[in-house]
Amino acid sequence: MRAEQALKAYVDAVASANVDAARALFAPRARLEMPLLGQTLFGQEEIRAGLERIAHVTLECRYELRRLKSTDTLALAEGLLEARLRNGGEVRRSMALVVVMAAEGIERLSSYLDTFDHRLWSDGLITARPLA
Amino acid sequence: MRNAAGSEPRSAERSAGAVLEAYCAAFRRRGLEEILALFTLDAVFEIPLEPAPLVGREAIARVLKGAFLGLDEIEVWLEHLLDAKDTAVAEGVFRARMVGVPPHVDGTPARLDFKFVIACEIEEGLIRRWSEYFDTRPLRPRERARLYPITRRSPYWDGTVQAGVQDFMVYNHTYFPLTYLRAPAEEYLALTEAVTLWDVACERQTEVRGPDAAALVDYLTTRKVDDLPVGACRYTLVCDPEGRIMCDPVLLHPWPDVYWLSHGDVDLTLWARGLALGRRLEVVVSEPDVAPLQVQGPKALEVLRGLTEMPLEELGRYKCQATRVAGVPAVVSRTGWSGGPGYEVFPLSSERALHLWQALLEAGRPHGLRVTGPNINRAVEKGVTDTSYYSNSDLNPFEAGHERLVDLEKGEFVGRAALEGIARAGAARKTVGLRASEPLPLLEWYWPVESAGRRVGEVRWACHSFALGAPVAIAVVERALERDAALTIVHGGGRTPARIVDFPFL
Repeated sequence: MRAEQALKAYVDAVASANVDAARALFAPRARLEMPLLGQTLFGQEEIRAGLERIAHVTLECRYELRRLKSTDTLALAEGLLEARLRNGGEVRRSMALVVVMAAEGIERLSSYLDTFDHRLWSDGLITARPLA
Repeated sequence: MRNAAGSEPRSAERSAGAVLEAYCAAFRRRGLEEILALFTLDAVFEIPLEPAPLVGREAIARVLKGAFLGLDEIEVWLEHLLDAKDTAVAEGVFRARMVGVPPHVDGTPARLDFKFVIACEIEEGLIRRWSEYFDTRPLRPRERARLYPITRRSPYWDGTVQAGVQDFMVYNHTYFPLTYLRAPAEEYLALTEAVTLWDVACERQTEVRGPDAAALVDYLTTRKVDDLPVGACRYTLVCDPEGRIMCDPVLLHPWPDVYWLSHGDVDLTLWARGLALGRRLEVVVSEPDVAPLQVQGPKALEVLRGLTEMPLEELGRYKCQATRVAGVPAVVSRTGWSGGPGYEVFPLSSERALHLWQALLEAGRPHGLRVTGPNINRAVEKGVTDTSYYSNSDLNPFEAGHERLVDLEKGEFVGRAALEGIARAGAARKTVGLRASEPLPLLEWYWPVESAGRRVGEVRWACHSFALGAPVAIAVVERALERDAALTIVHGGGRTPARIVDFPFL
């Protein structure tokens, strides 16, 4: 499979929450870098389990590829990640994806997106109370 | 044909990949002009550290200038590059040492290392779109400081959270937001070349109101008060009976028979209340619901002008006036802790605090306003400091370099007898500037200063000076030590040679 096909197949598998289809795209010792959940996953089983966790916390998750360049073994794409989380949160982020292929499938899939402003904490409005 | 910087040939035939590589090579060389010449005049520049795409060379220059000021030992390399004539995409690694950021408490150096993807589109050999993708979360502290309900919060709390506050100091029993998500170099440039907004609600006012207000403030402070007209401010000191500095407030006289001592970290209101009771003065001493903001930087006037009812251009240095800012009743003073141009806004209630905050953000947007804490690097360069009574005790005005703030000719005031004695005998110590030979860690307690193996003083402030390109410190040392004296700063990371230099540093 060429890198571009693999990338598109991965995007489709994530959108349909089909973790088995996604797992099958990866080589046995592949690496998946997914910063949104702080994960770097190694190997097909860890990748499957990680994608299951993502599917568990999202109602919907999809990549929109906007610009893509590739060779047989390498694909670099810009695009958008959109997700609706089960806790009511929403993610809409510019991102880039990189796929590096090996003979057995994807050797590495790296996601590049800024996750900083997905804050894990907030206390809401609290105003000061004057002394006197 | 040569490009605008005249440094290398530009060719309309050059591919996007070649331009992308040229950018990375120039970045390694810190070649600002070289990089800018690679862009079209209306190029779009997107990086995750900026909230919105930047357009044009000037905006791009601002970001790059901050990067070059705050980074050293820059390495950029590309692992993969896919190139077509007009577009290219690359995956690579960036590594750099952060300048002006002390090592972590475990000694690990502060670094900026991350992987990225860059996409580049060109037009006639120049970049028209540059997009970088990377996760900024690992570049920032993992979480903000732990908080406890025993300490007060600012009415601008939500605004500072939105702005990405990371760390606080407890000051006047209030959380004082100090660190945001930006590199110190970027904040320094914002303060010195544009404008910054600080939440200094922790800077509390001791309000003295009533017929004896001037008499109480005069007794409480070391400078004359009765000649301070309404609408004026005065930098002054409050000392304890032993002559030790309790705080160095700015005294505001916004209305007749009303004074505000805008003070540092000490329970001044309680102290003033006690003195008023003891002297049976006809005053009301209180801490009003006044939470100041500082708008500091050369563009502060431009930000505030459109929001302020009074003609702000007419407000002189160390003057104050009651007015409205964004419709909120407030006192505005031309004062601040930056050592440069700026204003303080004292809203008369925190009821509409977030409205005021938001209005300042909006007004500041076209001027590149950044929400920051007080900039220690700039303050130290300019010799602007603060005195914390509870940890900085035993420092008297003569040792602090504040002789001019002590008026021994005026009437009775707290600490006068002790200060007369010190003035007669001469202070044993003095405040000096030190230039260190290598970067210093974060000052978490006062470091001993040695000369020939003997302790001769202690460091009270330490940071990187971006203006001097060197680590600097402010120390209190034995009076006999002269300029150029070779000293050793003893800190948790080891021993750093330093010498006494002119102070203030700028």
